Amino acid sequence: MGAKKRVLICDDSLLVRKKLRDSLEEMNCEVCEATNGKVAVDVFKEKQPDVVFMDIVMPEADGLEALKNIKEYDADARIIMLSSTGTSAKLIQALKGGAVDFIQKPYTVEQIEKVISSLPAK
Amino acid sequence: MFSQYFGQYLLNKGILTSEKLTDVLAFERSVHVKLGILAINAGMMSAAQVEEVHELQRKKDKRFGEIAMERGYLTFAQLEDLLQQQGSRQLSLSQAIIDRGYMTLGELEAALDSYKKESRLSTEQLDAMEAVDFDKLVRSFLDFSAAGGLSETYYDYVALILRNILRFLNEVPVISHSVPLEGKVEGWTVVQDIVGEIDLATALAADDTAFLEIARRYSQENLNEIDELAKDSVAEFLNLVNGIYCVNASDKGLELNLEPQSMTSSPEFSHVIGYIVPIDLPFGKIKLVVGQPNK
Repeated sequence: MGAKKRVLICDDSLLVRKKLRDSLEEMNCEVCEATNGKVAVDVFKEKQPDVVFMDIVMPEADGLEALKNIKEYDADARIIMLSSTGTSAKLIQALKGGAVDFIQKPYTVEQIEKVISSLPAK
Repeated sequence: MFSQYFGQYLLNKGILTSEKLTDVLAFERSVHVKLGILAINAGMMSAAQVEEVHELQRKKDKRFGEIAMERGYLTFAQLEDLLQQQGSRQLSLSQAIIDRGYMTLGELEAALDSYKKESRLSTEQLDAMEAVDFDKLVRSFLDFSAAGGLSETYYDYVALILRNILRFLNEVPVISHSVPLEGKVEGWTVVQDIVGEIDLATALAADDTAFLEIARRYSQENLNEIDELAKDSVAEFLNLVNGIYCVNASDKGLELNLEPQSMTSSPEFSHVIGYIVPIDLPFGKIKLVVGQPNK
């Protein structure tokens, strides 16, 4: 069995973090959390996760700002936006900012499974 | 709403790449939705029947609707219904995908079918949504005329909340007459502002019992008290609905953004001019606040 995939969840919602953590742990992932975009950049640098699920609307720094800062630090970072505000403008902004995918809430466990299974084996 | 969600679905399923989706999203505003797409989406015709009518159109100088009726694929009433829908932008993304050649009609039909099955709406919920026209209901029951140019925004917003109460809390909501928002709103209250080309103040308030039940139903967690998770669950419900509102507005060319939500008990709304809409559910009453920040 390979090493556990490391996943960073960045969302200000306790419910979203709990639900996502429950699902990811069932998928044998190692999960870390951040409650806003500013904390997410620090946690990313410390934990070097394989993938990040990033909300957009958050206090302090939003998800698009965190996307930019993380991509500046690591151009290869895999960041999936996970947001309730999936407007065309936000979607285009996120994809241009280097997000590899954009999942509109409410997400399904199948969507998360697909992201995890597409990660390269370690 | 449909267009945005369906776009996300196609991207997430790997049916369209992000480059193709970005292209069709930019292109969709200029497209004219054709009857064939509308008929497939409504389940009135199959992709094969639409292809057949298109083929016949190339040979005959007749319109799509005429041929479809001749072949017995559509009734006059169905055709009228489709023509009425043609004015809306709901399926412009689907049309843009076809026009760009990214999918065939058959592939689109299959994707629409899977999308509807997977979008968490049960048949009963779909039936109830079709049975209760919330857009009509709010306009016949509520009076936002004093809000002037914002009245339509408020009607649309309340109808959206009602549809999502049905979708996520699984109850048919009953509304009472709205009252102007004055001073304090009693109970646990989650507040969220929508900002951009229009500014909206929104809030949901409920007493302990109703608040906890909303939290339980939305989170599908076993919650027994109003703790942080319960509060966050109700906040996330409002956030989700407001996100859908922004997507709907984006479909109409209005760019809006959400502010982070806040949770308080019995807040004052002295900075907002708007309305309280009482909503009755089998497990209790909710108060919906919609208004405009008084700058």
